[in-house]
Amino acid sequence: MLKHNVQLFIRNIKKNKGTFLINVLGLGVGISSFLVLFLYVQNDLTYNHFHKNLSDIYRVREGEGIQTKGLLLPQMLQEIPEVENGTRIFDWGGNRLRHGNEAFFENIHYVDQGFFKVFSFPFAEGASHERNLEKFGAVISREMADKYFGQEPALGKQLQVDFSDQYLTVNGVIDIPANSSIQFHIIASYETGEAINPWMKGIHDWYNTFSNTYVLLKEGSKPEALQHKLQRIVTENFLPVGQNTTKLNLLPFKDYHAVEESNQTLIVILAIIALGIIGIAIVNFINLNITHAIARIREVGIKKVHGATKRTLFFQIMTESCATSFAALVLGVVLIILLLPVFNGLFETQLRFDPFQNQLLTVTLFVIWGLVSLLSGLIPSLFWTRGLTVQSLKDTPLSGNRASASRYALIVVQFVIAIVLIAGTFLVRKQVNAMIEKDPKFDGKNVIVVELDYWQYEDQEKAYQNFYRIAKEMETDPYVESISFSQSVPGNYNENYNTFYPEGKKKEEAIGLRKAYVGEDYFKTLGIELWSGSDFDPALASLEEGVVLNRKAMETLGYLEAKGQILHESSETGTAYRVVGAIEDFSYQGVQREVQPLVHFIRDQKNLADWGAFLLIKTKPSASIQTLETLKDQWEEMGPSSNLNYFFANDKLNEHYKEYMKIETLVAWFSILAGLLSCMGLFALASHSMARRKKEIGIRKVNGATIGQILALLNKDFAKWVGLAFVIAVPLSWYAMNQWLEGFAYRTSISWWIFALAGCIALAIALLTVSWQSFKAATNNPVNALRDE
Amino acid sequence: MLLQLNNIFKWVNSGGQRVFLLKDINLSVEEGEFISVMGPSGSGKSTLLNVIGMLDNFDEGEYNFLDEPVHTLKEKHRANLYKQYIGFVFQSYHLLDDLTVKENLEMPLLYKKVGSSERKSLVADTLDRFNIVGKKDLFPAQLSGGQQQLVGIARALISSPKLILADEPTGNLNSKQGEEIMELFGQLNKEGVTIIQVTHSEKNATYGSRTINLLDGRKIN
Repeated sequence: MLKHNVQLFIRNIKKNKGTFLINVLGLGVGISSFLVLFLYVQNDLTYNHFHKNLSDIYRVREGEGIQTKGLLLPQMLQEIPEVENGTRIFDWGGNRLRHGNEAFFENIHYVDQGFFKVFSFPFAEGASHERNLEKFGAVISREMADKYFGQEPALGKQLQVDFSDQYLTVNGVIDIPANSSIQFHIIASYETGEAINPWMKGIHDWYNTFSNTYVLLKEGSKPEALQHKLQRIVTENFLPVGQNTTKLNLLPFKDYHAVEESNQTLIVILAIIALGIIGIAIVNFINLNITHAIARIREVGIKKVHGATKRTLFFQIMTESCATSFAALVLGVVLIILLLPVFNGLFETQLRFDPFQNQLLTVTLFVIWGLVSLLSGLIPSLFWTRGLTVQSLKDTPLSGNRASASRYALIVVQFVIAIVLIAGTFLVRKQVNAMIEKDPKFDGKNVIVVELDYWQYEDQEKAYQNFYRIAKEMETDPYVESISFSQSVPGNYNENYNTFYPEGKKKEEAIGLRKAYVGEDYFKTLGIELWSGSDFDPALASLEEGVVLNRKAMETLGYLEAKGQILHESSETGTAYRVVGAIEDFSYQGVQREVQPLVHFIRDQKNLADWGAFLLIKTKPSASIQTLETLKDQWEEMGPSSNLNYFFANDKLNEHYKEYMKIETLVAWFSILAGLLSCMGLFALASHSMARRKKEIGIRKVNGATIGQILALLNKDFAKWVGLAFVIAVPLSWYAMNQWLEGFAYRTSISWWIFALAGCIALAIALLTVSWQSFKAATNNPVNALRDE
Repeated sequence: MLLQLNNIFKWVNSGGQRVFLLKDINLSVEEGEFISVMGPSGSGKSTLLNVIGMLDNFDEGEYNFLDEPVHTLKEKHRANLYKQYIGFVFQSYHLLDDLTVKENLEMPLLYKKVGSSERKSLVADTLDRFNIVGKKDLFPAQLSGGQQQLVGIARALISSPKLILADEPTGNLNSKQGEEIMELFGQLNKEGVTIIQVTHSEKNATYGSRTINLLDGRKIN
């Protein structure tokens, strides 16, 4: 009997290749895209889950700030017995590391001995033990091991620090999972850090917040219970002692990713899209299966006459739906295996499809299979087994108004999803364009930024002599308008803040300013306009004590002009700085963020080695190619080992928008997919509806209706449903768009044309799909339709 | 006595009125009879045949088949009864398009849970008996109308029913093919199969031993 069923099934497929293909393809594509989003969302929700002590790990925050004072952790370990262990991570140090011919600039993270007690990173080479972080010992990531040592084992290998006689020994290699909040290439102890970088000694005090601090609480300890102990540390130690009101708090590390790193709106949107897509696909699959099964009602009648029972018929249809949905499942899995690397490449993720490791994934796959098989088998089997044999033999499909009403409802839901996604694509695109096209208020196109990469050079003194020389040479180039050295460039301002107290005002009016160090002619070279006062004037004697604010800082401070204003750093009696000028609010970071009050300090070119990171060259309009040629020639003299790395000033800034471009691509993909799947559902429904109205169409034609009139009649019906979907979709997407735009400081407007265009596109694809069917029905010879009688 | 209908009524309600499809039908059929049912369109011929074949219900009256009171039987029991004793032949043959001739013949046996080897021999016998061995691997679409109906009849006979119900078996055939089919029915009847056929044709009716005329759901002779 099973053989008979399977045989009948296979012949049926052969005969209805199109239907079967659409059916399997639709569900397969639906499953694979669902799985991609499933993996993405799952990856996001399981961040940091590999740490064994996860539920007892906390990140210490000062108020909302995630950076903490360096002396805090030792004090906590001493005073609070519930704190079992802890580690700081200090990532301000960078050095050149070399092994053989491989040399790179590495941002070494310095950590406390408790690091591997708190965290449980999986070791690829070596193991977690006491001596991992002994003096001049280091633990590196697998990525870094591959970079320096290739296929060779890394354990025990040595890395030369800068050009000195200090070497770091690799004591372990770890595989840092992609969904770890803590990412690094190399870690070493504080002791090692102080040996390599003497400036690190004594850098930690009760004022500066240079460290990330993690603690491991004793099992079962409640962070709330420690609050008063934490506040006592603040009162007794934080500067100014007794007056500091910072609120320390412990953020559970398991929530850290969601609170601090991940874009929760995006995750929710993606989860909804995932469910929407798989929902559309399943509904289509069931719909098509039902339509197909009803069309085969005659076969059922014949079988019934020859003795088929409800059970045998049920068994037959279940075999078919299990087999079809299995085919779709297999297709979905094949597709995801093919597409996941593409997705990973596009979105810089490291998602893996591994049903053997990922049990939830396997369960989900089987649930989808079971659900789809059961639903797509059960509903037609009700049609099949119910009803009189005589009726089914007459070849008239059972009519059921309720059934078709619910199918129209499903079509409406599908189109709502499609319209929301299409409109969303347009909005994201509009926002990204608005951000890129917003006037950055600096010259992004004609300024070449050269990375000095000073760490490459053994003889730093000579290297800087060369930089000066190149700068001088370039300045005389006829194509060059201006040059400047700087530590910061737009898109790359350091996270360096301090409090400044304006002279002559109350203490409460102190302001937090973001600090930047620049060289002479920085504003001129970047073409940043002055708002008040003047640029740094090298002629003035006390150059070092002058600062330039941005307009935002001026407005926050309530200054009307720059001249005559004085700021004290850190405290009311701290170093005094004279405000010499104020510049316009230019885009020093992506415009999705609010402009912060900035303060620019000037640095003397003589000490370039202490602060210089970039050389900025402003060329005459469209002369950048010639200038680059000259620059390359000049750079040759730096020596064979030096690479010229440069970019245009707006490149760095535009990198801040990359994330949103990715979202745009993602939403665009899925809106196309939702549109396609909705079309398939509509196609099935239309063919079903046309078959039912065959006779009506025939009668109308016999009575003189033209093809155009018939087409209009048939299409009007479907246009109505798309119209309804549009009415539902507009407020939904408007709300979602508003929510999303909330996250941007500079936001585009939600224009009416976004909705109009999305609606038109949805209507167009719907009518195209339906017309395919209705044209066939309308041009059919009425004799064929009426002959049955 | 093969079957007996006593005062059978069947009706539908349409627009508040009761429309009778069958009205007070009394009929006894003996084994070995060949009955032709005649009447104009809509007179209830097919309905009567469906009632006899237990494919359709009736609203009033008694129906005994081989001394089993069909009107009191449960659906499942009734299905077993017709599966065992009745074979159907249709105007439009009702062969399954996706199955070959051989598989079409085999299909009813599958539902009667006949063992594989017995199925094979039964199919082989039937193919032989109807002279269609050469066509066994063809699909219905590859056969002429007469050949298709031949397969339909062969299928109806494969599990040796006592009664064949044929609803205008020659309705879709040309006169020559129709004649051949009727000859076959005559021969089967001689071999002992009871046949009830619905027909429009006076000529075809002459093959039968008895004719029943229907008009507006009533027997009129």
